[in-house]
Amino acid sequence: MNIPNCHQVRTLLMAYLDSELDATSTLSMSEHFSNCGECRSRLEAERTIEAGLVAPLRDEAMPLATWARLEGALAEAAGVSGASATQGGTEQRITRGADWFGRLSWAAAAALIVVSVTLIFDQGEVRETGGFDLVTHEVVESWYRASEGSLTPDVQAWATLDERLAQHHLEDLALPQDGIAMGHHPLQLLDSREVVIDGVRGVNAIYDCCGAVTTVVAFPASGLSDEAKARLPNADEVRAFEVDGGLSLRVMLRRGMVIAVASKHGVALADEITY
Amino acid sequence: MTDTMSSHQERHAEFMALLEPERDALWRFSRRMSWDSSSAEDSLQDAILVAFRKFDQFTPGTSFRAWLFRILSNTILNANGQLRRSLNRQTLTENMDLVSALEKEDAYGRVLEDPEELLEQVSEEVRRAVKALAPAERMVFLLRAVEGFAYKEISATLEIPMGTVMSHLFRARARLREFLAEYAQESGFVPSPSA
Repeated sequence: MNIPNCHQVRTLLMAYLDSELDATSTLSMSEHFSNCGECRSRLEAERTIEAGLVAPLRDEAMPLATWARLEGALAEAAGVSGASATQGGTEQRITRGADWFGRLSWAAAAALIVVSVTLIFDQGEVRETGGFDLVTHEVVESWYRASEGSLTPDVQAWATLDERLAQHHLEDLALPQDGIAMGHHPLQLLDSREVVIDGVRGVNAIYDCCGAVTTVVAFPASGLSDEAKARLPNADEVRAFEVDGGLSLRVMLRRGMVIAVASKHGVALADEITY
Repeated sequence: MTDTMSSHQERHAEFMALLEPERDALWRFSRRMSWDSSSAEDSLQDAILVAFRKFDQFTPGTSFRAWLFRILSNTILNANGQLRRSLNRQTLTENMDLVSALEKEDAYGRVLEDPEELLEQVSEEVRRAVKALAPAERMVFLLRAVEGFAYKEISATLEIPMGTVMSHLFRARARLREFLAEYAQESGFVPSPSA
């Protein structure tokens, strides 16, 4: 067996770490590492660096809403009626209700809602939000998924911290509480919390809507900079509408489709609003 | 009719059972190869619908994961002809020693002495650095380093020679290490040459 020199070893180092060398080369490399402290240190350092570079790229989970839309599309392609779908390992039935959005399933419709409301609310006494300054639906969904359907203790603790403020914002921003229906479909408020973006306080309400996790992020639009709006998830487009006798709404659109808007009567369906 | 429905449901259920464990991996790959979440989802949905339609062609006993990634990669490449061309471009690399390939060889040498502390600080910057890689390099790096595919599997998936896979991978790794060395200097983790 030819034992490679240090230069040859370093040329083959990453292939060795990738387990891409043949058995003979692997053995001769191992032999070299057992006799050369410098190359062994380099090997361990490169292994650490590679792991450190890869770790941040592995921690992204598919948003529940994306999974719900994929399930809906597959169910439709398969001709499976009723779209019996599985979410996050929990058996949850996503009902295909009224055809609000043509061929889109309810799961798709309920999946992503980002609403910004033009209401100035009394900020009152505020507290810090425990280190979070932006909670996106992806963050919330990852928590929700990790908890397999129930919120984790950490999330519950944080919700408790800001519960009073969140309730305050829910009322002021006219978002629905428990028992308030979204169209003909019941919304169950799972959790709500204060959200701060660039110093502007809003609320992130998390609902169970027919088995799909739905989040509504509501802010007083006048207080949010364009840059901050751009950081909101799925804010493909923003338009202003006049609804309910002059209440001005800014509605974030998802891929050109109005999903829902907030009004002083709560969240309403897009096709129930004249604009 | 009932038998047909039952068969459709079984096929759908079987596909979903195989797909579910791969969903996060497919998403992050699509996400990192796309401009934004919206186009990532479009590519992913297109690919998964194609996979479902071709499910009869999948050979049981082979890797469903590799089969899905092949379809997803093709979907992304079909939507981006420039990426496909850059992927196939010959990129010969003679010197495969990472350190000597770096401009900031000295700084990286200092990083190698104690990489843990630096790596703890750079998660977000790493994501940006990966996003800044040339798409062909990024694609090969993600398939190998993040998703764990062998060089041979990547070669088959992207329909490029093994040597080209290795060249793209080497360049991606060199650029990411160059980034680490730059970050280490800028953040004072290692002294800059002028210091």
